[in-house]
Formats: sequence, structure tokens, C-alpha cells
Amino acid sequence: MIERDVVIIGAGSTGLAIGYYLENLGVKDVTILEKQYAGSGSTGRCGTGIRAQFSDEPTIKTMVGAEELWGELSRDLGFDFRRTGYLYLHHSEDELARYRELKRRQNSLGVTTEILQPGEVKEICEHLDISDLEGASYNPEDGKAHPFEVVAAFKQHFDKSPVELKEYTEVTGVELNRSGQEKIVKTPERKFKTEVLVNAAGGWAPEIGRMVETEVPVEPYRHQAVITEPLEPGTIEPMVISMAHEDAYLTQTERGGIIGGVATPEDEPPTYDTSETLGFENRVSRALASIVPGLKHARLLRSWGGYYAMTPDGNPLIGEFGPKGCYIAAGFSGHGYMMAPAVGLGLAELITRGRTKFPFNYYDPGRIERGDLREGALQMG
Amino acid sequence: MSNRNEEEVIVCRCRDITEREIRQAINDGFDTMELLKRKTKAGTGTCGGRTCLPHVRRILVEETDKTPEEIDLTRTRSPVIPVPVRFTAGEVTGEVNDND
Repeated sequence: MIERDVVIIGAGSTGLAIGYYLENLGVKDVTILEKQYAGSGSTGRCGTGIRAQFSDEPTIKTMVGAEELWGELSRDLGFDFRRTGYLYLHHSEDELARYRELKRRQNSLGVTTEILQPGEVKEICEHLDISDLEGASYNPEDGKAHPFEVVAAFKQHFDKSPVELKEYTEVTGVELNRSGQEKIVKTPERKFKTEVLVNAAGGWAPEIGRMVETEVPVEPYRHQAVITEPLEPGTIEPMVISMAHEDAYLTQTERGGIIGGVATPEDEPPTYDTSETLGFENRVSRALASIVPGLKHARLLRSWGGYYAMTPDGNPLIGEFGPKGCYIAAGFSGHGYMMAPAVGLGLAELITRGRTKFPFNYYDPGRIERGDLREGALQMG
Repeated sequence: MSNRNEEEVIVCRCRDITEREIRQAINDGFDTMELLKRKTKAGTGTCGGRTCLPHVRRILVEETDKTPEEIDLTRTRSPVIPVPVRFTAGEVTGEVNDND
């Protein structure tokens, strides 16, 4: 039996960041357990974008904090966080008007969103088709980071840190000690005794929840993405979003390919199947070729599936949940990667000090059962 | 050929990844095919890993105590060969004769 102060289940961006910030706050006896390899779930399959252009105040505030932390993390761990901006294309007057409202709210919370004319959009990305464009929202401070680089940087950090990252180590069960606060976390080879257990298992959070007799209201919805062959650097710098093209997103990764996706059809049920489909390739290809006509000549290299771990209101579950000492940070509904540094620091603060500067009351995990649902976070792809 | 030269051999031709970079990544703890592919980019180019991944597996066998049978190649994703976006967008139909 190994005694640890904190055991984190799941080594996606969320679990890795929680471990990192616990260490920063002085908690060194931490183990992160991962059933596959770090970043094997939603993190390694995500669209790479990081934005503060949201619609609700708590998420905007959380993301303003997260972007600052992404900057610090990139310097401290040695990966690129590129503030190349998020560009929302607006193809109707109504949509533009709605986003003017959002811009005002975002500006009042310190987000540097501006509204651009179609001609100005062309200056930011010359390859975009602006023929049916009414305008665009642009925040130059938003950005992107390559999840493989980020995960590798965390992994190499933990190699030299007291925090233990155990990959290919599946949690098979948790024993709750009724009298005290001890939890025994079981894996095939070892058992861990801890008072603090963090469920950061993303789409698999309900499985871990059942081990601590807690129903976790999260369902995995498949979202697919594609990447093209590498193109010249600087081809599409910002993350480009187009609601008029099935909520499409696209940008160029630092490895050169154009990554992109479109929304999952509303009638597709939750599933753990991450197979890629021809139907998706067809829909995303139409979107890419309409938004950036030149892309029709680029070759698709790969497509893949991942999950949005959805909660009933599209907002995450963050905080203590279930038996005392059991915490959750899951159900990010498509925004876990971008929020990870804020969630890591905020949850580490909650665990060690009982409070955080982040507005995590909004994400109180108990709200779903109470029927106190939030406004859905602004969602893409 | 000396060891030094062997280490400068390009293993992944699409991404220009050398044998030395693969060995370095394995020694840095990226010691499975999935981790190696994501860390080094080997296998993420236009050939989809057909050229290099068997070599990466061979190097992994040399650097660790695993046998080839224990090491699965990474999953092959659609499309099986790179396809121009206008094909998958459905703009090209009928007889395909495209040489770009």
C-alpha cells in the first residue's frame, strides 16, 4: 500500500495541470493514474484552440485567467503558446449584431475582442473567402498550443518532479473507508491510500464516479477532426470559426497541417466509438473548401474521433462531489483543454485552501441534480 | 557503416526524423509507439507511417526489453492515402484522373 496526499485519475490536460499546480502549492505526494498514455483521450484529439471569447461571465473570467497561465506554463515547461487570435466569421446581420453584444460583455471583462470589416478580415488571413461576409469578431490575444507538445512537456516535467505520473495503469476500483476519510485506489499492481481523490477522467468520469458511489452526469459525444498535409507556415494563423458552415473551425498547427472540424449531427447519440466516418470527411471538406477555397487542393492526411464530455448544461463539473475528499474536474463539454491551466490551479487551490479566485461556484457539480442549470457555454465544432 | 552514421539515417522521410531523434525520445521516456509518434512526429506525414513505423518499432525493440510481437503499430486512419479536399468535398465525381 502506497500512501499519497492526492491521487488524480486521468492524465489528460486537466489531470496533468492539477498535478502540476498541486506541486506548485507545496503538495508533493501526488500520483496521477492513467489507463492509457498521457493525452490519449480528448486532449490529444482536440482542435488545439484557446479562447476567451465566450458568452457567459464565469467562463470568460476563467479563460482570461487561463490564457495568462498558458503564457506562464509555456515559458516554464517549454512549449509554444501562440497568440494568433480567434476569428469568428459572421455571415448575417443578425449574427453580427449578437456578436457586437458579446464583444461589449467580453471587453468589459478585459477581453480585447474587436469587430472587423470584411476587408480587415482579409488582412488577417488573405486566403479566406470574404464574399458573403458581414464582418467578424477577432480577439488577437486568443491562441493555440499543440496538445502533443503540451503533454510531452508535462510528462518531461514530471520525470524530474516528486509528482508521479503512472501511464498504462488502470484504476480497477476504489474502496471507501466508512469511518474515516481514507480511500483505497486499486490498480492491477499497486494500491494507493489517499484522503483526496480527483476524478479527471474526461469522458470516462462516470465510470470513476460509480467507484465512489456517485452518479456523474457526463456523456461522451463523438466529435471528429481532420488534418491536411503540412502547408507553408503562416497560411492560416488565427483559429477561424464559421457558424454558417456547421460551426466549423480551422487553423494551422505548428507542425504545418490545417486542422479542422464541424459540429456533430444533433441526432448522433452519445458513444464511446471514436471511429472516423466518410460522412464527416465529406461535411468538413465542404466547409474547409468554402471558407478557404485554396484548401480544396490540399490533401487530407488523417481524420479521427474524440469526445466532447457533455454535461446537461454544457458546462463543466468542478469541485468536491460525492464522499468527502472526492473531487471532480470533468464534463468540460469541448473546452477542457483550453481551460486546463485555470482548472488545475483553481482545483489545487480548492483542495489545499478551500477557496479559489476562479468563479468555480458556477461549475458546482451538485447543480445538475438540483436542477440549477447554467446558460450553455458558446460552443464550436 | 559506423554507429554515428546510422544515427543520422532518416527514419521518417516525410517529416525528416532521424534514428538519433527516435532513440533520444525513447530514452526520455516516450517508449511506446503511440508516445513516440506524438513526440517525434514520425509516422504523421503523407505516407501515414507505412515507411517508417516498422523501423521505429525495430528501434524500440533494440532500446527496450520488448519483443516485436508485443508492440502494435499505431492505428491507421482514413483516408488510407492522402486525398485532395475537393475529392472528399464531392466536387470531383465520375472518373478520377488527378495528378496533383
